Amino acid sequence: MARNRTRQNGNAAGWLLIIILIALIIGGYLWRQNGGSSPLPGDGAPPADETPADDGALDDDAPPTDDETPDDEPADEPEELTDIDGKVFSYLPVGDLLPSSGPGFVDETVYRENILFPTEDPVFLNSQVYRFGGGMGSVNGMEGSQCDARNYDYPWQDTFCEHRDRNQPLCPGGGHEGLDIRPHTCAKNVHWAVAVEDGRVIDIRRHWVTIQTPDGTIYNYLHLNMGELSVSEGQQVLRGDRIGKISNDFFKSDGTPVATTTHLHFEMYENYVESPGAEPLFTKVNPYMTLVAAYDRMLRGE
Amino acid sequence: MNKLAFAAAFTAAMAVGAASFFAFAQTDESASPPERAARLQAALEARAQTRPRLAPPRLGLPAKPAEEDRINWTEMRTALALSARRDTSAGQTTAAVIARPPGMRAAAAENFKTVVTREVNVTHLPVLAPEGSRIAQTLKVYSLGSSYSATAEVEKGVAMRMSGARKKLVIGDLRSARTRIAAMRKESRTLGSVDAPYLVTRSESSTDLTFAKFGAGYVLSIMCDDPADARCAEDDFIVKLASNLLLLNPEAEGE
Repeated sequence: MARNRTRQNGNAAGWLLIIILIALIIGGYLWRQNGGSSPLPGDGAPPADETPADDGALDDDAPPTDDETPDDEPADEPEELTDIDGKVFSYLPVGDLLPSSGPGFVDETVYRENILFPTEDPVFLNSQVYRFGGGMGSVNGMEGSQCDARNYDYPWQDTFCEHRDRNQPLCPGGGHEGLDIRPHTCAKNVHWAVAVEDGRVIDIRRHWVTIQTPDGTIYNYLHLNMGELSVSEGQQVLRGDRIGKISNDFFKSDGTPVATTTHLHFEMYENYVESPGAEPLFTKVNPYMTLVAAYDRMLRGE
Repeated sequence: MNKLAFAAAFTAAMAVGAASFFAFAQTDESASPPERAARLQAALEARAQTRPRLAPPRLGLPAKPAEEDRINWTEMRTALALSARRDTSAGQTTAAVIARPPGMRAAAAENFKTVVTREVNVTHLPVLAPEGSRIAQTLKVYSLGSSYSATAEVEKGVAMRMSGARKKLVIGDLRSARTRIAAMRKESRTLGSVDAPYLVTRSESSTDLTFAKFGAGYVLSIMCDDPADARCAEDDFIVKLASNLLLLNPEAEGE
């Protein structure tokens, strides 16, 4: 009898342990599913706009969304470079794109050391396609509106050679040969794009403005408000001259609009050689490090 | 026996439990989209670099202007003469009307009603632009002295811009340069009009063909209404366009 009771007690204890273990596993799983892990940066961001009117873009008069200027400045200046809103400027390395968004193209070259940054205000370089409000945002769980505050924050991220359906040798499988720049806020037709160097407006067409410098460098500014440009074709421009306001203009040549987010797509052509005396290549180049350097100077007031 | 069964069950439960917990904890697929986005954002922030306010280190690898920017005007005149000879030869030997051979042909700027002659005259490099009836009617040239651009409508749904520059940059990142040079060599095709290797690339705004000749760099860009348009999606159209070029300043000389 006693032996049987001991065996029964042992069985009961074993099953109890198993049940406790299973309960722990289920509990742990539920705990994780409910976000029980330690808070991550970004968790506190406001929820994405679920019903964007025109692709989530704000109207001209709408208030900006990233009005997060701190009320009380810290007593000590931070050791890191900040923008006018007090945000610490940070950037990811060149060629470091979002997961599954493209191969990127690592090019550390600062092509023009003294250009002005192409906008008047602080901006955010990141993907228009693979982040909140983009057509491929769901690839990385970034579902929501283009006006999501997390799109309007650092770190910057390179988008050169982000996937596009165009065959070309530089970006294997097809890619984006420019950089996408979100303006200071999600409001379109508010923030100015400016000439980065002295030059001449050589082409205004559909949704882009092209400026060339005496050295030959070509800058393409896409998606400005083409109805209210501050320049005309053939005009000489000086460094810092206003060109147009950042918008989401995107047209076929017959005027048919194409949907896109509010951003400045910025391209740069250079005539370059790898060593003195070599035959030059005149192609689009990755302006990421050139823009990081220009932004650094802008934030320092240089 | 029961003790053995209990021990086996306990061990298996522990293993399954640990594995599933680990899997749930690590596998992003199990996470909700907001959680995946938050994790990714955190990972990006962890990799990001900042800039010190004081004594900042240099950024990237600066490009330097190349000292050499001379134009080989003799080569330009020789190429023009060779092309004219090929045209003459083709005209004498073919009875039927066929396409002319690829070439570079002189064309006075005054012949184009939309070209301001002064723009061509103040340009210190050979001013090249593609041939074409619609191009001839809409061609404009903008000079910046050591560089220029010519723009025009090519045909319905396609516009073009041809730019040239004599100044060059020696770029700082040799690895990226080698990648691009290798891509060009891989193409290993020659543009008949100027007997030079060329490279075709595509992007959001244009399809580009680049080549170097006479000491200058050139890029011909075509812009299609629809990037999927075969004229932009395939190489044939832009290569054909670049195969017959006009030289708008054949009398230009070195300075």
